[in-house]
Amino acid sequence: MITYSPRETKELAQKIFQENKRGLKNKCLIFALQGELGTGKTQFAKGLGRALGIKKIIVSPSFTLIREYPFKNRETKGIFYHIDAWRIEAPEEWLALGIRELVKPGNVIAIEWAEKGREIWDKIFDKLSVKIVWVKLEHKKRGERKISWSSKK
Amino acid sequence: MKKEPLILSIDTSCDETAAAITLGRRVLSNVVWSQIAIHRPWGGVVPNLAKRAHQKHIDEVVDTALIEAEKQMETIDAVAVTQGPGLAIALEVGIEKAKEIAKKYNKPLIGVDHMEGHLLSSLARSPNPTKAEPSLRLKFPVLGLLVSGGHTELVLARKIGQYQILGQTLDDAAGEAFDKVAKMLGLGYPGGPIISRLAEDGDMAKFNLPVPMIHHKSLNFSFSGLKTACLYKIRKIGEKKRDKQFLKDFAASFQYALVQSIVLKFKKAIDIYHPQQVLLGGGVINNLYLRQQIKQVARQHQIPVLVPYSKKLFTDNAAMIGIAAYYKFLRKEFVKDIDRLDRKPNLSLEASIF
Repeated sequence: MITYSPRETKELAQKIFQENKRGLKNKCLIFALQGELGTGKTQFAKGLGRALGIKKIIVSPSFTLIREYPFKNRETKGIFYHIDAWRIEAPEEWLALGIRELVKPGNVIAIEWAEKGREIWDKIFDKLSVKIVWVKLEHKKRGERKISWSSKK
Repeated sequence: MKKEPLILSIDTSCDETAAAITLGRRVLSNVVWSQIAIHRPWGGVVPNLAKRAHQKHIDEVVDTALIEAEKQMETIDAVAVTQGPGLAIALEVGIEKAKEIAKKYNKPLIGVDHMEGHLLSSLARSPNPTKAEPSLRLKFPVLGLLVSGGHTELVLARKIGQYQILGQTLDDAAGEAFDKVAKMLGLGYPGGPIISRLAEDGDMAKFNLPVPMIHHKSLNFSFSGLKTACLYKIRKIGEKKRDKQFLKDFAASFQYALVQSIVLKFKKAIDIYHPQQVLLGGGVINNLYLRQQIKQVARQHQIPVLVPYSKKLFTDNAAMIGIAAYYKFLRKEFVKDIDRLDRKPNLSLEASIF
């Protein structure tokens, strides 16, 4: 799918959330965002925030690494965690972030630069109930982004 | 004269382990152990390194603050600690230490918002004033401009302790934009000082970069569009042509666009809220070009600008936490149940800490 503006990226994020929200009652939903600087990862997270009914402005977590936003809407309540792995190099850094403790049914986690930890994800999420949606964002022509996604249990 | 409170403050919100002793608004010591050298190879803060480094250095930093101030733990009147905003696992280290000291020495504990520290950092007084200091009478409303690696905020204070956020970044913080553009240019970390140094001899009109949010009515900031515009420009130019002069010109052009955006919103805030005083805080205030531009606008409106007396007070430090804690001490805002004091990684100046 191609988006032509940050707004369209946000709208697509809402749509992808709707497609995958089933099971949020007994699972933690994780959006693993892959993409270079400036491909719209934070915009995508803003879209997820909107889908969850979060009023607070979703801002880049690059500096503080994790930002959290509690949410409550008609269907569900939980905490939306927005994580930035831009600065993470060694896989064990992921464990240090304490991500396992954030994984609870009903919570939603968006991880920017998720590709950086792919090799230890199985270890991190071992025996936890999660649904992971991999989202790839790419630069195309000026202003255009190619966004593709796939989910696995 | 009434005795001013002697406060030990601790801040471990991000990559600095900091402790300070303040007597009233006077800074007796301000010790910062920086992790920048540790994180430099990674281009930013790395979480488990951050936590480990805080744990390793916190005792030494607290002891040094006491020694430099020539004070003993027994004689302090309160312990203050940053509760947020910041990196959760880093904040925890400072909070645990503060609780431990408060319990062991039976001292009242004060929880402080890191951003209130930045906002009030200009009110700090030096330990050895070289000239007579005029007595400080803040005129309200006060407009605060806070620009750092993690934050870009315009804050209105009707009195100390009562804040309204007029505008904030919708995506990246200004300091983060510096870091990311520096990374795109293959420069080091932190990006701010490197870019501003390069920009000194650069042509700010060389590259036409968009001034963010120029047509946007709100007082909010946004730097992600500028970041992407930089990325497109840098790519187009190609690696071979990126010589020293290119870096200087690009740094100057980027800095110009970013600073103009901040100045524009600052000016707008003045027009709407008519502040009587401006306070500047945060690491990016170190940027001379930004400071000059802000001061010029304030001068045109005849509004006095207060800037911290030392550069050490711009970036993260604990003395500024001591200043915020001093006013809380006067208002008797102590933590009621020490065991329940918790980190608040997403704390906002508008939310009461209690």
